[in-house]
This record gives sequence, C-alpha cells and structure tokens, in this order.
Amino acid sequence: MRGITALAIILFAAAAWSAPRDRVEVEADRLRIDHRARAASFEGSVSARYRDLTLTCELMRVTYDEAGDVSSLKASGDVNVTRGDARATAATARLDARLGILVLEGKPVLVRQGSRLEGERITVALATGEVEVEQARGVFKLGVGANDD
Amino acid sequence: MTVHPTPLACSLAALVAAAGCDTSNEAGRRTPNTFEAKGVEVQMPIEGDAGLTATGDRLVRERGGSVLLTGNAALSVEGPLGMRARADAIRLDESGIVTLEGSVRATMEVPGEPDIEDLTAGAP
Repeated sequence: MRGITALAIILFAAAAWSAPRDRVEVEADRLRIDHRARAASFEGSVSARYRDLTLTCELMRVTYDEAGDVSSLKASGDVNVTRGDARATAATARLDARLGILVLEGKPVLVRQGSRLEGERITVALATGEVEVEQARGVFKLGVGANDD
Repeated sequence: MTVHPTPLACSLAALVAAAGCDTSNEAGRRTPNTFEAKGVEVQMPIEGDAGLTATGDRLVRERGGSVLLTGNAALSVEGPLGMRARADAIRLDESGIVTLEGSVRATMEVPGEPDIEDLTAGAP
C-alpha cells in the first residue's frame, strides 16, 4: 500500500519517561573510544539495553558534545530492536535521547502479534509508544490474541 | 592522582609517560616492559577536568608506546558519557584512543527524554 504517507499506530507499550538521565547498558566484542573525535564505537555482537528496549547490531557509534552528553547514537548492521512483544528490524537505527525517538531506516520491518509493517522509515516515540511508518505497506491483523510470526 | 613516590612507582610513571599517562600503584612484580600488581591504575586526561582511569592487574608497555592493561580490566570515565566498562583488555595509545577488547560490558548515561507532559503541552 505504497502512497500512504504516514501511519501512526500504538504498538509499543508506553512507559513513564521522566527521568532526567537514563543509562544504556551495552555488551560488545570491542569498544573504541576516540576523545578527539568525541566518539565511542561498539563493534561485534553489540547488545544495548535502554530501559525496556533492547537493540542488537554489529556496530553502534555514539558521539558526544563538549559537555560530554550523548549527541547521537547510531546502530548499523543487522539491527534488531525488541520491546515487549514488538520486534523491528532495519539496516540502521538512530536514537535521539533528547527527543525520545528511535528512527529505523533501510528496509525497516515492524512485527507484532501477527501484524507486519514495512516502510521507508519507522519512527518510535518512546514516551508515548506511537510508531510512525512512512510509505507503509504490509499486513495488519485485527483482534486480540493473534499468533506472533 | 599523585604518583607514588617510590623508585618503582617512578619507574612505572616513566613507563607510561610515553602514553601521556600518570599512574600510581602498590609494589608488584616488574619486568622492563610489564608490571603486575593488584589494581594497577592508569589515568589519562581528556580535556578540561575530564579524564579516565583504567585499572588492571597487569600492565604491558607495547611497541609504539601504547599501554595494555589485562586482568580484571576496568575503565571509568569522569566526564564524557559517564562511562563505566569492563573488558578482557584495555589499550591506551599515544593518540588518546582507548580500545577495550573481549567481552566488553559498558554502561553510559544518556539525557532523559522530555516528560510526557512536556510532549503534550500545547495540544488541543
């Protein structure tokens, strides 16, 4: 169903997001910190947990500003994001912690309880659980208790 | 951190000076390019008041001036990302690049998102 500009649906369970600072826990094969570039790169079998969201990928690059705060967090290579019973895959993912959004690009696919949506870009608002799928197409199952894929 | 004023510590300080680091430690086993002791600490300034502390039970000076820490290797960053990490090995090189290898486990701070009330402020 190409041509649909945006389709917003509630797929991810919303949580209260009010903490001034959060922590990201990361496991990887390798971590490289370059202070001159203000960047940290996690490489190989990367698994990051951010509240109730888990992200796995092959490379995750974090940049920070002069104050030492994260300015961007980008994941690439077989990106897989899970939150509750929802799962999304994409070539890349970008977390904007200040805006509280996660953007998936590169043939992103969202799967939950038998529903499957693809699009050009998937944006997850972490505070509200709203998901926006641009150029959405796919199968959306109605009803409760549908089997997961 | 002040360098422990013993000949051994001073020698070790010289050992890591090539990497732009300061160090202090307890007495331990030493060879020309290695030093083994429980919780060897290496500090490296980043910028301003920020800096990092790497610890391990074995310090090796590598060719090219880099320093390798192994054995309960841990990293603590005061400043950027508020990062804490553990790994099998930590390497600090002369250019200021820090590399952790093997079973890396790290935590870092990120800014909290806007409160949900902020997100809905102004909505009809």
